[in-house]
Amino acid sequence: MSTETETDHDDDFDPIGTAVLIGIYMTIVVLMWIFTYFIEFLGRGVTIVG
Amino acid sequence: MHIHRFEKVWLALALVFILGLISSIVYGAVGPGVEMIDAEGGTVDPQNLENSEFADPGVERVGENEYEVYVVAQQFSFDPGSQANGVIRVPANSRVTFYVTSSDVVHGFEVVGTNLNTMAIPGQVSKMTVEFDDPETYGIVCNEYCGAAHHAMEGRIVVVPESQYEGPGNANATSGNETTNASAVDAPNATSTFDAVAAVDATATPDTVKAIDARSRVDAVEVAA
Repeated sequence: MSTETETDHDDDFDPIGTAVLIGIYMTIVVLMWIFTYFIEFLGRGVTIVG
Repeated sequence: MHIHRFEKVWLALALVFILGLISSIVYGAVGPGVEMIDAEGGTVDPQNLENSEFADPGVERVGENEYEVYVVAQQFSFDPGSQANGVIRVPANSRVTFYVTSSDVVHGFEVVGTNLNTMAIPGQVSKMTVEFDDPETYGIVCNEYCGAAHHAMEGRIVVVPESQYEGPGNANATSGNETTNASAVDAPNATSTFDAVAAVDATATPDTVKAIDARSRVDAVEVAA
């Protein structure tokens, strides 16, 4: 007699669409950070050095 | 505990992302040498600036290509910085340390288009060092609302070529092509300081700003009374 619970089956449930969507969001956030920090912030000429 | 493999990937990615954020900040501090403004500037009595290092604000040469600039922010100008007080002149290829404070209310000191940006707080001295490599004219704006003519509170930093720099003694030389439009401030139809400010908005000059300054002080006294 099996005593499996519902969670044992969750590998059958692969929300690939959600994963792709989150992947896209993550990529956007990473690119925005690179733009904001490295181009907008560090790319401005005069900066405080002391 | 069973964790879905998608969640494992997500946890790993999130950790990498956080490490990436921290690493980039560390890189900024170690590589380009970005510093934050801290309490190093110390404090000063804002009621008694005439007996402090801000008694005669301006540019001082302190070493080979090293300069110090003492700036007092006040309603509604920078001294030096605004045209009426003389713009800030420093040579190119110099290392300049700014000491900024306020004699009245909280102001901002933002050099437009750069990372040079601090609050000017009465009693507190903001100290920051920057390197100016190339000749250029920068604008300074107040970015903390400080009163009726806040929007007209601005100044200039002129980085001149080394060969044309005539020393810090010239900091108070103003250009002769200023136009004044004080009559607009005295317009009899101006029912409030804000109207007067609006009237001179397009043509605000140091003289008109001073006139507005005097009016807003009167307003402040009236409000206090």
